[in-house]
Amino acid sequence: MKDKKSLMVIGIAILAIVLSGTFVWFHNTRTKEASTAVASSLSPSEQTILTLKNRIATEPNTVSLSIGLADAYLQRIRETGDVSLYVAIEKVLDAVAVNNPDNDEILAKRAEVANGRHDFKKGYEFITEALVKNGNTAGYYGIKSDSEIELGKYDDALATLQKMVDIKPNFSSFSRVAYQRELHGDSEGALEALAAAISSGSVHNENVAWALVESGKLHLRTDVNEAERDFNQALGAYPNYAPAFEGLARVAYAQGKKDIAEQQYVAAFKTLPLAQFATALGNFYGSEGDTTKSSQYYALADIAYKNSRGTNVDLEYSLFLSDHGDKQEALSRAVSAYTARPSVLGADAYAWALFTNNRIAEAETYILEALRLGENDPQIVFHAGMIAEALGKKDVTLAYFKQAYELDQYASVYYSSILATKLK
Amino acid sequence: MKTHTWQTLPARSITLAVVVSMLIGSLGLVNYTNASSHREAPLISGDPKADATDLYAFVSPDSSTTATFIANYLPFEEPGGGPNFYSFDDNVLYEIKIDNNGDAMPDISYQFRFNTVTLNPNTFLYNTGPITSLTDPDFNVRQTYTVTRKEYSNGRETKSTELAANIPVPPSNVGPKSTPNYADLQAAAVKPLSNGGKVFAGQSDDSFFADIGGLFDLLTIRTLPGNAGGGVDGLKGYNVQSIAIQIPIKDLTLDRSVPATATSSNAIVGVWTTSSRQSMNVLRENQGRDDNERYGRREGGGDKKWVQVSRLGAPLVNEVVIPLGQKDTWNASKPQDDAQYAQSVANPELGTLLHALYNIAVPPQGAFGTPSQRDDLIAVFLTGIPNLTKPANVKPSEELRLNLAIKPTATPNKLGVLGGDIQGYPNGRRLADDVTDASIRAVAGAAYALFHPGFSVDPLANQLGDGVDANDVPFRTSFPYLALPASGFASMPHSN
Repeated sequence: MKDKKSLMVIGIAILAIVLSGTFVWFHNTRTKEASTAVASSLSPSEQTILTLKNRIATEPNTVSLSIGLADAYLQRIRETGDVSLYVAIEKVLDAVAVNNPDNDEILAKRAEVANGRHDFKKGYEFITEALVKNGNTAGYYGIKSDSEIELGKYDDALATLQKMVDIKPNFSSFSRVAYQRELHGDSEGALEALAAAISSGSVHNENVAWALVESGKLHLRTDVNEAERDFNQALGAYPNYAPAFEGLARVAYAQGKKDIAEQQYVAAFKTLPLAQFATALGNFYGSEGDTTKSSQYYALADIAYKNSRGTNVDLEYSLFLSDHGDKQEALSRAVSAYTARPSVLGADAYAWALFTNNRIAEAETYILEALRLGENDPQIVFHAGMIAEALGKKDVTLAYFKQAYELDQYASVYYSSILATKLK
Repeated sequence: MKTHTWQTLPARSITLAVVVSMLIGSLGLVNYTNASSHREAPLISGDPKADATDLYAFVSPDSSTTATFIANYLPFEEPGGGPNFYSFDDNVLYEIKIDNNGDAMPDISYQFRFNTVTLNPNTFLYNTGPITSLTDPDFNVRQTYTVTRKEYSNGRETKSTELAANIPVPPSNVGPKSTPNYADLQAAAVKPLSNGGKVFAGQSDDSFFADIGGLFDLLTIRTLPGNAGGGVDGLKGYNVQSIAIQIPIKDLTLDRSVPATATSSNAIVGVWTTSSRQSMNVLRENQGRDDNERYGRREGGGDKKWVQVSRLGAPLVNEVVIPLGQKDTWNASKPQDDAQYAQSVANPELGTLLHALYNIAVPPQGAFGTPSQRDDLIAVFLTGIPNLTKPANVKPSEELRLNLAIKPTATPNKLGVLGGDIQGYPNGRRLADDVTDASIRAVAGAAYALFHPGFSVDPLANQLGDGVDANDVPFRTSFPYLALPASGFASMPHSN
């Protein structure tokens, strides 16, 4: 039995690797810009990376070139999820900083990288320094508000982001406004801001697809058909966009079309073998009663989390472990996550890990902290319901469960089945 | 405590995890965790739909009682960029502004607002079949626009006139199956205005031609000195979104009359294009489940406030003159405040660079307000050229200045004024003017002797260029003059 299981997991892993390779190939061949002087089989971001690397070889001290290369790498990380590229960016920035020690653009880029690696304290320090040198660049305020949100400084983040959008109302600022509104419980306002972002457009098609997926996720709460349109449009804007496949899987699941849901979840994972998609597949098979497949995908997710070189995934991994893994490890990860990111999400992960370790009273303290922006996040509200239930607070429990259901009954395949039994 | 329904799944064998781990690890595919979530918004989106690339202003060659203005937006449109293709942004206010008294403030503005309609929202397809007319039901995602003329006195609006409404934008040039007879589709989108002018908005071939690869690679001239070809047109095969408007000259001047001569006080207008979007309050009032006040919602904040996000007058100013860290400030700035950029014009980095790279004897240059300031460049970029494009009592400001009394020539020179053709750049800008060569030569000192008789110009200065001398496709002889956009089906951008 053990052997059979391991063979299957290995099979899945090989499949994932082979298919993800195929995806890269497909994606690359669709781009026509590839007809420039540089190698013709590269995607636009890869091509930019190659061109700028060559340029920097002859002009190592030109800040704009190195910043351009860092940006191209950052875009590549968005497209592929390959966080190992952060190391490459740091090398580029270190090299150009030697002769440009006081440059604000380099500092701002370091802040962006630190945020990307989920080291928000460092991100905050870098961007504060950059803003002292140059307070006129809209993007710097965006980076600062990103740090502030994750550090739980929500008031500051609102003021900072207002500056950004007042300097430059465009895709980058509108999409940040959307997240702030979502955090504060205004889904309709979030959708409005996302629509403005999508209308603005971006130089990177992936950005537009990302905003469409975020719009789809919000629409999923109220209108499955609208959500489906968003996810399909995302695939139109950026073919083979894995998060859009996942979105379509959630749509199909909500519509009761389990076979299509499975296909789309698999498509997401095959396209990008991310921990998040492996977990989604684990949840899906779990809800279908297929514990073998479920545990195999959880095993893959676990491996991916463990190997997130250089990027702090304590928060995400802790939530995963609380549900599907080692509870003690979940707690120790949650402590680090909360220390580094005292945001509502950090508090939620901490509360949830305390709960799964049977430290219910402490869990309540932190879940209330996680609810401080209002009862808006279905995951946090669901956790609050479970904690209230364990404390024997019947009325509150029911209110939370109802709230979670109303917010988004399909927020998680894993939780929604539990929620359904709780509300029976 | 109750038992929870989700207990840990059966413990996996360590061997299994290790095997998979080694397998994946050996292939290096181990750095993937999560896709970008809502809290990971992009930062380097740029703003292509509001990004002005080029502005043209010229007395119409086939209709000399009118002037034509063309503003291009959305650079580097790859023609095959389906399935969503290209559009203007409904939320952007696009403007072409005219200063007709030299005070650096707009006296007239032509405003363009777009509206997108999706006929069938259940498909994300741009077209559901061949588009044979602008009203074809297969033309699924379409735009129309309104043109409004605003008039101002000392910066205050005094009059607003709608010149046309519901004008169709033709589709992107998708290819022979989707958009057969593209020229007819575009011709149907050229519409008359109530003031006797004409207007067009839609996709065009990018009319700018330059070796941008070389220029931005430390001003590399591939085949020195650059006046005999050898450059690579980095814009070849790419499209843009163009807004073109033709206006009777009498509607543009300060006294609403046609200037009698080139030295008439009403002959010169300054032109620039801007795009603006409305800001928004981060949190909406009285929305959300909780009391937003606690979280710092601002009273009467940035909601609906128009913010200028792009500005363009003369070519290459943003690229060459404005320092990197000031791009956002520049794009939000107004000509009336341009004194802040005088330093960059008077003492340009590019001059130093030309000397360093090609050992050209560039004119002396120094700080603004000193005898060594580059007054030739100050004239080109900030005040206009005396007796040609310099208004009386001009307030220095960066505008594309056009003398409306100079009639179109039958024999244009692509170097404009530097080539002895006073109908061309920097007297306005015609589509075929080689502004890259003209600008490099001007910085190298080609026009310096006009201001400093006795200065001997380095012969090389008059030969410099990027080696790209004309657009890859010919311009047309009637409005909107631009070449038709490259088709997505046939195109291979940038191939030379």
